[in-house]
Amino acid sequence: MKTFSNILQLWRFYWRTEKKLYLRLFFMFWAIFLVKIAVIDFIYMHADSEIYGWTHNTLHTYICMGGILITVSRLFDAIHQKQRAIDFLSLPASNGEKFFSRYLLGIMGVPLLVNLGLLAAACVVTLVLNTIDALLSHQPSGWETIFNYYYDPYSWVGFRDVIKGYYPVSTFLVVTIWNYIVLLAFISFFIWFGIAFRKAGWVYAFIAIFASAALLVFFLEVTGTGNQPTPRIAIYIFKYSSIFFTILFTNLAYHSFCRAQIVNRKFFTL
Amino acid sequence: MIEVQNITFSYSSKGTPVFDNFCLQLEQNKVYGLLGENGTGKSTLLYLMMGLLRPNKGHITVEKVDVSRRKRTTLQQMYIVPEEFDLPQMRFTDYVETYRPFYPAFSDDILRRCTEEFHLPLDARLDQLSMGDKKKALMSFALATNVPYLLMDEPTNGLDVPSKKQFRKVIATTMTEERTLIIATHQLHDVEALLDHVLILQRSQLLLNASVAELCEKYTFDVRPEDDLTDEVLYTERTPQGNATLSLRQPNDEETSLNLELLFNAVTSINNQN
Amino acid sequence: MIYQNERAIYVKIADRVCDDILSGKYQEDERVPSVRELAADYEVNTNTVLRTFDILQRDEIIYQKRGIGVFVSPGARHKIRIARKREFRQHELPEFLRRLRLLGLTIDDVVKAWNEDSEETNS
Repeated sequence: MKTFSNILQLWRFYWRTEKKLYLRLFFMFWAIFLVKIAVIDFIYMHADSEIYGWTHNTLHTYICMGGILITVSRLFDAIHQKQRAIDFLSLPASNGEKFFSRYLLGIMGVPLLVNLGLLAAACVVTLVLNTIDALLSHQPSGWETIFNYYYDPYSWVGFRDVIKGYYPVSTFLVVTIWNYIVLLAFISFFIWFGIAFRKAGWVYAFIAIFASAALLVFFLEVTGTGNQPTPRIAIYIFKYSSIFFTILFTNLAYHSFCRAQIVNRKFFTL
Repeated sequence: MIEVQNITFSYSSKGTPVFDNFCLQLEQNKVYGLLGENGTGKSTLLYLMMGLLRPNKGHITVEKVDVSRRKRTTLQQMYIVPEEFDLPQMRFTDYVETYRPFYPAFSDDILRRCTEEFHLPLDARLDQLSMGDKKKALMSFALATNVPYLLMDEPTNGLDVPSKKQFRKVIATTMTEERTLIIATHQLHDVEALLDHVLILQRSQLLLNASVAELCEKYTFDVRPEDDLTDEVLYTERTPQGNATLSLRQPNDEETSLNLELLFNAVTSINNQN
Repeated sequence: MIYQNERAIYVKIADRVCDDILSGKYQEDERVPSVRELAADYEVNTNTVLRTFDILQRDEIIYQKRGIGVFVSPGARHKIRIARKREFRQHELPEFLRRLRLLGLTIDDVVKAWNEDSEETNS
């Protein structure tokens, strides 16, 4: 289809004009994960299991999620800076093509980038450890060691668990896919706020999310339902509504993008 | 044809509108000079025509398509050289290779002619060029895109005297019949001989919208001694050579060449008096 | 009387082309530069040069060969000289005489200046 080749044309354009930015981003994630694995994981591996659990899982998720969401929110930074906006908005491509070419980068490219950064960091650490191990005890540790240091950013059924036999691959796939779908809702929300707010949309996005979460918790506490086990229906609502929210936020983001101007005095454009 | 239909535009909701119920029609195959002092809305009008700004009321169409829709086909026919711009850190040839796929009518021949006239090396690193050279590079690219509607915002600002001469030569050579060029500028001398049509903007009003041919037919621009200021003189200015006058042209008088600065001063001062 | 430098641009360019014809830069039946080339040389709008060609063609100084180009008419040099002489007699000469009288000079002053100038040119 013509639109598909137009999107490819735009991707080629982005690569040519922004390749330094992408590489810098990759190395930033790689460095963060490297530090996290090498320092935190290592130090706390032998510590109290509770602390280790927290640093391993929660901190890890915060870093990965935060990284993804902030990056995704800044995908459309160009339209908030006058000269870059002139360049981008006058480029001969339709609004839809421009929006979706970057949107796809956001929903596919950025999680991929984060995963690659994680994988690269895990590889390096494993390589270093293997080398040290080999030098010290002449016993190679083996390939699977990489996955000791590679943690899926958002799946509570991790790749490691599958390898170790705790869960079947099918469960892993289903969980991963649903995690991605829910993540899409958050990603499109952050993309929307990144387009609509003239400055630092991701800050407002985080505030909005924490505020809604706080409200939810308050509501649960007040009605006393917080202490009961989560009914399955709530989980279904949460999962399937993400599809609805993804579509909603994507539409809102596209609408804001179409209405973007090179000079936006307004704080927030709808 | 570009049609600006009853647009109202203001940068902020509280301030005075830059354009209020403003109309303008620009036809094809002409070199338009959009003249005005700084801050009168020349750049704003150009951005509005490119669809980079959206009017609060009314709309602007290019070939009958609303520019706010930013369709690919519309954007392929337009190019704007802004007054200030950033060029990426790449060589000029790479820049051309990156952007040209978006302009199907791109012409290497025009690019070559422009860069030769401007003395621009094609493999120069764009971020290492002086401001004047950057402008010349972007203008060369703009002309090479071969778009039917080319907008330039203060193209001679920042160019030294030899560069202005190169600019005039380049424009004179590349203005083919299938192109509309709109130059917004306050540097009247730089564009005087190149224009087909004069638009004078002051305080968001179009004070004058006339072709050069029409102006030279209706008015006489010359220098007269003090005692020769007769009834048909509409405006006069003292110069070292005498009184520069703008007068109604008498039926048998030979046509004179347009004195753009005099015309501009005349129109704006007459407007200021009202 | 309109001073030379205020005449319409296309007229001034026509004069320049005529100068070039008189000086021999463009020989009769030889090609004259195209509209675009002249526009670039003089840094003017191409429509201006079109008007120049209009009047040159009207005065039969140039002729057009469809699809090939624009050429200097045979006898153009002669025509130009005649036209310039006529213009001199109609505009500059009366103006010159008017200024003579204004300054209180006579035709004898003119003859004297002419003779001095001829001597200088010959020597």
